[in-house]
Amino acid sequence: MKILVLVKQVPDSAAAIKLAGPAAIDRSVKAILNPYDEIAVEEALRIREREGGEVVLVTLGPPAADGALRAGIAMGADRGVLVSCDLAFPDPRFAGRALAAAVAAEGGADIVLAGLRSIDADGWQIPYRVAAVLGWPAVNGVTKLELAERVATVTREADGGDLEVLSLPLPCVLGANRGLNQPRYPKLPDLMGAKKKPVRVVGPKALAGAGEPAVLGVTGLELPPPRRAARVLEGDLTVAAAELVRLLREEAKVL
Amino acid sequence: MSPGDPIPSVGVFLETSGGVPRPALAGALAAARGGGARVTGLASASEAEACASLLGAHGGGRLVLLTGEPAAGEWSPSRIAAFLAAVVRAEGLDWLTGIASPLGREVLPRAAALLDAPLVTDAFRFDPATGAVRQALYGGRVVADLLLAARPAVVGLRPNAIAPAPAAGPVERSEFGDAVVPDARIRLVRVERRDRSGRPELSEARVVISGGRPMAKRENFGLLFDCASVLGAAVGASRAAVDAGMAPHEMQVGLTGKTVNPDLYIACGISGSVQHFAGMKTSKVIVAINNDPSAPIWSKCDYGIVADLFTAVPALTAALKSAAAVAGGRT
Repeated sequence: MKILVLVKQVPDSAAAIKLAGPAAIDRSVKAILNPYDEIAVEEALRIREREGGEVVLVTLGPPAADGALRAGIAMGADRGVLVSCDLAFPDPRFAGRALAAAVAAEGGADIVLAGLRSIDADGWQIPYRVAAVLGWPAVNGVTKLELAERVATVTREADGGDLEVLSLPLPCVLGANRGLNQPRYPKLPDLMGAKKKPVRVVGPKALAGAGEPAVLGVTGLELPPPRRAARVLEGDLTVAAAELVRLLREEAKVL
Repeated sequence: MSPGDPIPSVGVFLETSGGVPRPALAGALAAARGGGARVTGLASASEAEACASLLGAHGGGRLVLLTGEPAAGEWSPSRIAAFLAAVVRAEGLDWLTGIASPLGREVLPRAAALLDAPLVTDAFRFDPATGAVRQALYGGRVVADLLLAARPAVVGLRPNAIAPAPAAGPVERSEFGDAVVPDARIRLVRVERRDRSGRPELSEARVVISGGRPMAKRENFGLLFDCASVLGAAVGASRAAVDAGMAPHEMQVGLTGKTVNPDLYIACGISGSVQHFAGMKTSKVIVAINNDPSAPIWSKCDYGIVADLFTAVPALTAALKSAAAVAGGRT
């Protein structure tokens, strides 16, 4: 079974983001593998453990995005492909085409896994875009996956918390949600060994169908304003709770 | 928009739940009408009446209704996405919008992929006349302004972010069904229902009360549900509480959970990590109940009670009940 996993490098979820100009962020911020992509990588490894095959990671990004590939390789993936693109805000239409072109250049796959969303751009769209270009079916937000006879049976949380069980034929694109698995932590030797595994760097121009790199029209970035100091109530709880309700009604006007 | 037609046309997916249009659609329709844009509501024919009265109360416009019965095993989001994309194509709409609800986050990106159109999934400002869109990036740590130049373009609107602008207007209905071809490769095998007991959807709720790891066990969330019943609130949980098995994942608020945007967010035993704030920082008012005076949440909330949540939450519930009784007695 050949499993391709689409991964993305994102700023650390706890790091402070600094601006570097009107429409750019300071890219020296500590970077991590997108947490949802970790779940996708973990699921790919479990499929390989059951069925054999190969797990290949594909990313689109600047040279530093090699870090996301190495993080996934340290978890156990076989190798990586870096589609180089040094744009701060690549147009997701271009990203989808470029990633689909990279999948095609790999000779296709049985399954393409991705994360439900990236925690930086938060678009929830790459699985659908890649699937649309490849002409494959896609389901996002998968919390359970079973494979049998080239059919994927997946569970996802629907509107209102109901669970939907869906089936779709391979090849397909699946987006991983929290709950699908608990990603493994790589051990130190794995982290060291990941540096030696092969990563192929390819420009989008070398990929048939990737199209021209394009940016999404970001015109300005700003940091949200800080909140004013909190009004903290102490002392007798009955009094404090009544005062809080009064403040929420009369001062904040939210009740 | 077509050459010589300066008035943008905006399709709005009129999402319903149990036959009732989502409350957040009132704000979405206000945004869609911005700058005098022409609004086209997109809805299921089975919910025509409810959607027509919603549209008629928020400026009016055309109402395109999806007719026909879904085939056996058909998966509804695939059918809705195919419908939305087909109407945008057939009518030459400039914009497709809807609310960034769980269903909206499924069908709007799917439609954007079918249309090969740009997408902003969770916008909190949108001007169809200029194409200016505002969204959060990096888990709310940055606010980004975008200018979407291509048409059509797709925009999901954050619930409760845009104020409704009620105004009566005429509604012109038409039917659409023949050109809708869902992805038949995706089959619905079964649905496992979960009882939410009439509670509001978390991402759309006007009031949310959430618990963190100090809740200690699943049964203790009953304290929050009691308070939520008085408030008409949805109940959320921190990642720590979800990871510890105290609450299901669909209750998780934060970077790797749901994004909420209520008027009032009450955080009980939640320290206030950057990751949790990514999911609720745009709440209008944040209240903390926490017995740790050094928790980071104290620098990020509006009001708070420094106390153990096991005594403070029941006290708050009691205060809310007595305030409601007093208010009830006045009228």
